[in-house]
Amino acid sequence: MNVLVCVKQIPDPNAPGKLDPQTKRLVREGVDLVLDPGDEHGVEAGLQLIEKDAGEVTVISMGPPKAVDAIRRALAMGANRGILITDPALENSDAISTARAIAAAIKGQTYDLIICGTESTDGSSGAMPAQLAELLGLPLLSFAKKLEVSQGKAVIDRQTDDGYDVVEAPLPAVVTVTGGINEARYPALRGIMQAKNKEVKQVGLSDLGLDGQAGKAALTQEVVDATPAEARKAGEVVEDKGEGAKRVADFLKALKVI
Amino acid sequence: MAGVWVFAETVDGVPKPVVLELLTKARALGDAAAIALGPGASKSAATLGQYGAQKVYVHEDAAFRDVLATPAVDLLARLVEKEQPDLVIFGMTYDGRDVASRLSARLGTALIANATDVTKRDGGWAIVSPMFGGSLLVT
Repeated sequence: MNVLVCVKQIPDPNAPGKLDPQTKRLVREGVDLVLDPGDEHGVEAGLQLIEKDAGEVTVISMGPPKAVDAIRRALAMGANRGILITDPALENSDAISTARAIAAAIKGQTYDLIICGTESTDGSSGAMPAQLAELLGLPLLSFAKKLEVSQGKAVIDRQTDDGYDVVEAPLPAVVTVTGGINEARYPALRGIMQAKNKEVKQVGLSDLGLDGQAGKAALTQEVVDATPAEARKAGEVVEDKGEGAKRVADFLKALKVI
Repeated sequence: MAGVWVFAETVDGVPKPVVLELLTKARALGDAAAIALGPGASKSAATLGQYGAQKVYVHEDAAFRDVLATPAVDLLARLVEKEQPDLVIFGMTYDGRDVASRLSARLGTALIANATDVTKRDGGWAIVSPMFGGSLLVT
């Protein structure tokens, strides 16, 4: 059973990211860059599958050369090898460009399952996995909070507004996993040491045969403005002097909640 | 007037609340139309019309309920190519997101997720979308 896991390096979500006022691009300098915590669940899900059944986990990412650190983190968790798509012409890529690049990079690989997080923690568009599935002509099992693979099928519990649906698809398939699917393991020292010697293949746009079809040359959208969101106002503190309940009820009435 | 479509998710013929909110936006932007798919879809037409859809496309096949995303994408891709709307709006629901993403890849069109506002600008659309968990608004 071979599993591909798509991962992304993002600014540490505990220190909110910034866009450069001129270029409107992500500021990567002086910012801690980490493997997206949502993707750790994807790596974990992949590792659990190959631990049950033999096989390999390959981690794939697109980003600047530094993004190799995110791949190393996944390798330290136990993934077998990595692929980094990196090319100056891919700067500023939108989701569809990313999907095209990943689709091209995994052509020729043998895999049973592609696992992605449901969305990145920085951009949060959640578009890439479905676009990747579409480009590869594969089924997508999205929002999985449980994943099982057997007899050539993947079966998931798919999160819904009211609970979950059980959905299945034949392999190969793309699955997106939610944070609730597992507890991601912390890399052990031995894993970190081993990760240094694992293979990470770097590929560029011309290796993929995508010149002009991804990145700057193929933008469908442009960031024209970026403004900080209005800060949340401090809440009102009501001291209960016997009329607290009424104050709360009045507040809810004013909001037309009750 | 621009053709602005809303993907009208319905449950047993009742549109989800987000659909009605999106129709309010759609009719302010242009000629609003709605697409309702799955068993009971026709029943939703009256409500969708009441909230601003000038035209409602319906298809009642059970596949739209029983199979994730792809039947809706197949239908929408053909309908969009035939009718050439200027904008198609989806609610950021579990299903809306899958359908919108796949459709954008099939048609090769732009997709902006998590939009909190849409206006016309310079012959295109200006869309506000939050980043970094809502700390930054990007247009």
